[in-house]
Amino acid sequence: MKEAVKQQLEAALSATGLDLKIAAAGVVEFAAISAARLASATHEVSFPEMVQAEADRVFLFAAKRAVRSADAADAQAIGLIRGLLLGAAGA
Amino acid sequence: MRNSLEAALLSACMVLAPSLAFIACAGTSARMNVMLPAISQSWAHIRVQCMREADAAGAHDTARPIVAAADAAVATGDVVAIVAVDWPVLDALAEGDVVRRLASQAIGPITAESLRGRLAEFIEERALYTRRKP
Repeated sequence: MKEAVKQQLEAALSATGLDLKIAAAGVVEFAAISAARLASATHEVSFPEMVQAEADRVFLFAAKRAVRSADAADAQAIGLIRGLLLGAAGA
Repeated sequence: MRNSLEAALLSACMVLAPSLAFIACAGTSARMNVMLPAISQSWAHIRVQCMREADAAGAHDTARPIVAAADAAVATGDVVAIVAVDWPVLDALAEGDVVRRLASQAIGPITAESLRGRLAEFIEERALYTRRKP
C-alpha cells in the first residue's frame, strides 16, 4: 500500500517540479499509521469501505503536504523577485 | 560606472524574473495537479454517503441540487464554484450516514473513525484548495 501511495504521489508531484523528498516528508509515516489502523480492523464487516477511506485519507494528506511545500517555494521565489526588483530600483 | 551597474542589474532581472515567476506558480500547479484529484477521488466516495443519508432521512429532493452543484464544482476545479457549494449540508449528511450506520452496526467503530477522519481531511483540503496563495 505504501509503495502504491508513493508512486501515486511521485507521478502527481512530477507535474509541479517539486522535490519528492521534501514534499513527501511525513506522508510515508501517515501511510504507515493508516496501514496499522487497517490491520486492526480486518474483523469489521465494513473493512472494504475502510480500505477505501484510508486510501483517500493518505492521498488527501499527501496533497496537503505538496501544496504547502509549493506555497513555501512560491513565497521564496516571490521574495527573490522582490529583492531583484528592489535592487534594480535602488541601483 | 553607475550606468553599467544598472544595465547589469536590469539584464539580470530580465533573465531571472521570468524564471522565478514560473517557479512562483508551483502552488497553483500543486493545487490543480495533486490536490484536485485527491479532492475529486474523496468526493466520489463521500458523495455516496451523502446520497445514502439523504435517502434515509427523506431529504433526497433537498440534497440532490446541492450534490449536483458539488459534482460540477469539483469536476471543473473552479474555486468560485467550490466556495459557492453549500458544503455544511453535505458534511452533515456524511456525518449522519456514519452515525446511523454505526448505530445499526452496518459499520464498525474503527471504520467509523476512518470515515470521520476522511471527512475532516476533506474539509481541510477544500479550505486549502480555495485559499489564495501568499
